[in-house]
Amino acid sequence: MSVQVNVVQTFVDSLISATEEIVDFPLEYRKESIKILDTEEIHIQSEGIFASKMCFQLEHSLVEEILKRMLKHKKLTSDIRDLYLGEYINILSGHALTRINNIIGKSSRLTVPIVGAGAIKEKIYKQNCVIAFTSEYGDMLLHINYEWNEYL
Amino acid sequence: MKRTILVVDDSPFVYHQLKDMVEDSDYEVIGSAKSGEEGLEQFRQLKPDIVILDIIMPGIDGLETARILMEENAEVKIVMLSSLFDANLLTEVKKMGLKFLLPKPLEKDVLFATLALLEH
Repeated sequence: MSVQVNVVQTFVDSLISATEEIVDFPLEYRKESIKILDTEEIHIQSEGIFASKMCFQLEHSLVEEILKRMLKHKKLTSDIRDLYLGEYINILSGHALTRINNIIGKSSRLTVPIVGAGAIKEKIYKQNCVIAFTSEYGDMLLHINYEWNEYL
Repeated sequence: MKRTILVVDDSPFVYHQLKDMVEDSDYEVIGSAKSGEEGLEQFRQLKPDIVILDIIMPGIDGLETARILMEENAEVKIVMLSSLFDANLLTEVKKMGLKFLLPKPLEKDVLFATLALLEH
């Protein structure tokens, strides 16, 4: 990879700014690792120059606050719950991937997010990172398994 | 008379956001669809003035849906939406003859500026 991309910093900046835009509260990056229990998982993948599998783990209390803010005064029904949560993750991932694509000048594309465990590509990529965030409503972990497709 | 909008996005978030944003304006959201396929059906039935179309969707994606819509109706006014909005995607969208790609989340000022441009 001739152009260097700091994957962790790119995701940190993107997730913090996108969260502020969507739900208007601050996420804080934590350098030290954290352990969170009682989480919801959302999976999303990217294909192209930055091939990745991303797993977002959000504490339930954080999910509830995000949904409350996205829905404003609308009633939350079980059928739209996952769609709203998926959209939040789609926007976060999209912002990060946009920055990566613009730095490299090549394309990666996102898949549709999947809320819940499993149903993800079996392929294991070479590199891994885990990024931790905290907020007044709960914590979030992002696991990224990725590699650069140099030949694209 | 109000200008009518069809929203095609697999998430209801954009539909609700748009409905709230255009309330008390010259625009009205008259329908929504959760996929490209459903969007095409709704378009044929409702004949909206404007289609707001997400790119990343299950089934046929927004770009393919836009291509079919433009084939069927050369006059259709389309605004593409995406959480991803890099230079390459912008080029791809332009090459298709589409003029507008808005980043998610939608911002009210940007939406109305775009809707105004669509009229010219």
